[in-house]
Amino acid sequence: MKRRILLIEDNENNRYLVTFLLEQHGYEVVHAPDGPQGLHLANQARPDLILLDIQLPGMDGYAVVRALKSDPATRSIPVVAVTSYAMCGDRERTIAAGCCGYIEKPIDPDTFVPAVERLLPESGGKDVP
Amino acid sequence: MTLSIERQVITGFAVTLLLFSAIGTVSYRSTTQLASNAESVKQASEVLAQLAGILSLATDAETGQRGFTVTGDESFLEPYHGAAAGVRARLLALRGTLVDPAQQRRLDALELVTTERLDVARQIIEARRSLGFEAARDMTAKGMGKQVHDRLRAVVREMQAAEEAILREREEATRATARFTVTVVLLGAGIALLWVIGALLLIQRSLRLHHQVERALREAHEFNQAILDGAEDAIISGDAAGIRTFNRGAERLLGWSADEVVGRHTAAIFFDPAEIAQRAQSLSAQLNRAFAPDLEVLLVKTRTGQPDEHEWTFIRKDGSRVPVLLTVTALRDATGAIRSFLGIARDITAQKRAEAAMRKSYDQLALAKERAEAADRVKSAFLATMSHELRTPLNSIIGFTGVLLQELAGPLNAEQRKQLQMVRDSARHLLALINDVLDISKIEAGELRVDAAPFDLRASIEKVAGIVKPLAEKKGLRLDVTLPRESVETVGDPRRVEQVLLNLLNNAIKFTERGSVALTVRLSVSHLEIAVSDTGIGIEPHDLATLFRPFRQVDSTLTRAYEGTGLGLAISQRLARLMGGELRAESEWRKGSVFTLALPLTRAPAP
Repeated sequence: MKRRILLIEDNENNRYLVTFLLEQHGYEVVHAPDGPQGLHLANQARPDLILLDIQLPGMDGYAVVRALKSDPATRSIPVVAVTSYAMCGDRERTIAAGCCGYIEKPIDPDTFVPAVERLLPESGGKDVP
Repeated sequence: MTLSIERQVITGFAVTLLLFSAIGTVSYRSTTQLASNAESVKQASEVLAQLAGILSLATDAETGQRGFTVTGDESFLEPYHGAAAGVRARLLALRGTLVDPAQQRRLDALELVTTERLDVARQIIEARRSLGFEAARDMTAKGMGKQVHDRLRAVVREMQAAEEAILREREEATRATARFTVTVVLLGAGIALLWVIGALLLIQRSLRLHHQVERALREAHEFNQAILDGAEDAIISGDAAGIRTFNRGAERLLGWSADEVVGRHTAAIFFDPAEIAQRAQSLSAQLNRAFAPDLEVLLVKTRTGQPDEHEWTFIRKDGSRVPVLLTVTALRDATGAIRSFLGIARDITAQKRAEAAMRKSYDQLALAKERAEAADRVKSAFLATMSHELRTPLNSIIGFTGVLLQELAGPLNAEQRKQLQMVRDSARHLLALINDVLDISKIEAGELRVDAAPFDLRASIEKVAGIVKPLAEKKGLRLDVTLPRESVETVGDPRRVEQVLLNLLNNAIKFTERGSVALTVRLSVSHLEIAVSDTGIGIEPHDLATLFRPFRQVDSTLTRAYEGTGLGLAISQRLARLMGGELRAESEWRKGSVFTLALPLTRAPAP
C-alpha cells in the first residue's frame, strides 16, 4: 500500500511540482488548494503525512494545523510546514502551532524528497517500491 | 541715646527750668538778704546819729546851764529844756531800734548816765536860782558836771564803737551776699546757656535725623511705587473694605484707573460670580467643608501659609474678559493676623492661545503619527506579500528545472542540460537578489529580528566551508579553515551567522585570483572573532569608508557571477549588529582584505 501524503497548497504550479516529485518516488498524493478543503480531505483520506503551506488565502496554515490537532480524528497525523516565510521565529511558530517539521521554499528537487522521508513516521513496512 | 526725641526735649527743658528756678530762688534770697542788710546798715547809721545827737544835746544842756550859772539869765536855759525832751525821744527811738543784747545793756547804762547828767545840770541850775551864783559855781568847780559828762561821753563812745563794728560786719555780709548772688547768677546762667545750647544741638541733630528718616522713608516709598509701577503683572492688594493697591499693571490689565477703584470697590468687581461659585464648590468638595461663594475662597488656601495659585477669568471695566493666573498671598500684621490680601495677576491670553495651538498641533501630530503607522503597516504587508508573490514563481522555476535536471521526466541531451543549468543558476541568482532586497528593506524598517540563542559555531563554519569549497577549488584557490579544537558555543542566530560567513567567503573567493582564502577563529575577552582573509585585489582606502553602505559596489566594472546587488556587506554588518556583534574590514590595496565578524560569547546559562 502506497503511503499517502496530503498537500495543502494554493499555488497550482507548486502543487504540481510536489505531487510530481513525490509520485515519482512512489507516494500517493492528495491535495487541497485551501485550509477548509484540506481539513475535509484530512478527515476523508487519512493521509500518513500532511505537507502544509503556511501562507494560504483565507484560513492560514497556523489555523489549519491547530484545527487538525484539535480534531481527534486527525490529531495523530504529522504535519510538516512548507513555507517561504524563512524569517526568524517562523520555525518556532509552526512547531508551536503543532507541526512536526519545517521545509523551506523554494523546493530543491535534490533535497526535498529525502527531507520529507525523514519526517515520515516509519509504519506500514513496505513504503517505497 | 536710647531716649526718644520727645523725652530728650522734655528732659532738656525740665533741667533748664529747674536751673532757672534755682537761680531765681538763690537770687531772690540774696536780694532779700541784701535788702535786709541795707536796712540794718541804715539802722546802724541811725543809731550812730541818735547817739551823736544824745551827746550833742547833753553838751548843749551843759552849755545852757553854764550860761545860766554865769548870768542868771533864764533864756540861757533854752537848750537845757530842749535837751531833756530831745534826749528822751532819742533814747526811746534807740530802744526800738537796737536789737543786739550788749547794745541794749549799754543803752540801759546810757539812759542812767544821761538822766544823771541832766539831774546834775538841774541841781546846779536850782542851786543858782535858790543859792545864787557862788553855790552853783562851787558845785561846778567840784567837778560834778564834768565827771558825769565824761561818763556819758564814754558810754556813747562805747556804743558808737560797738555799732560801728556791727555796721562793718553788716557791710561785709552785704558784700558777701552780693558776691554770692553774682556768682550764682553767672554760674546758673552759664549752665543754663550750656543746657540750652546742648538742647539746641540735640534738637538740631534730632531734626536732621528726622529729615534723614523722612527722606529714606520717602525714597523707600518711591522705590516701592516704582517696583509696583514697573511690574508687568497686575498687583492688587486690599481687604473686605476695599482695594488699597492697584498698580499700573493692574490698570493696563483691567482698564480701571487706581483712583477709580482704590477705596471705592473691592476686588469682587473683577471676578465672574459664576467662577467664584464654582471655586467655592470645588473647594468644599476638596476640603470637605462648606464655603460661601464670595472672595473668601481666594484666602482659603492662603490661611495654611501657602499662596493660592489659580486661573480665573477677570472682567475688565468695559466688560470684556481676560484669562489670568492669579496668585493670592495673605498679608499678616505684626501679630500674625491676616489683615489683607495681595493678589498678583498675569495675563495668560497668549499662553492660552499657545496651549490651544499646541493641543491642535498635538492632535495633528497624533493624526500624522497614526497615518504614518498605518502607512508602515501597509508597507509591512506589502513586503510580506512581495516576499511571497516573488518567490512563488521562482519556486516553480527552480523546482521544475531541478526536476528536469534529475531526468525524472525523461532523459536530457548535453545542450539541454547546459541550458537548464543556466536557467537554474539565473533563477537562484534572482532569488538571492530578492532575498537581499527584502532583507535590507526589513533591516532598514527595523523589522528583521534575529535569534540570540547559544549555538555551536563549529558546525556552522563546517557547513559554510563545505558550501564554498567547490567554488574555491574551481578557481584554484587554497581554502584554509582553522577550526577551534573544541566546539565553541556563542550567542546569535546560526542561520544569520552562516549567511554572513557565506557572504564573506563568497566575496573573498570572488575577488581573489591567486593564493588563498583563510578562515580563522580567535577568542577575545568578551567576543569571538571570525576572520576571513584573502590574497585578492584588496580595497582602496577611500572605498573602505563606504563599504558597508547599501547599494554600493566598490568596483562596478568587476563582473559578478553571483550576488551582484552590493547588498551583501551592508546586510552582513547589520546582521552582525543585530546579534550584538560587529563586522570590521581591513584591507591593503592589491595585497588582500581581512573581514572580521565579532560575536558576543556565551552568556550565563541561557534559559
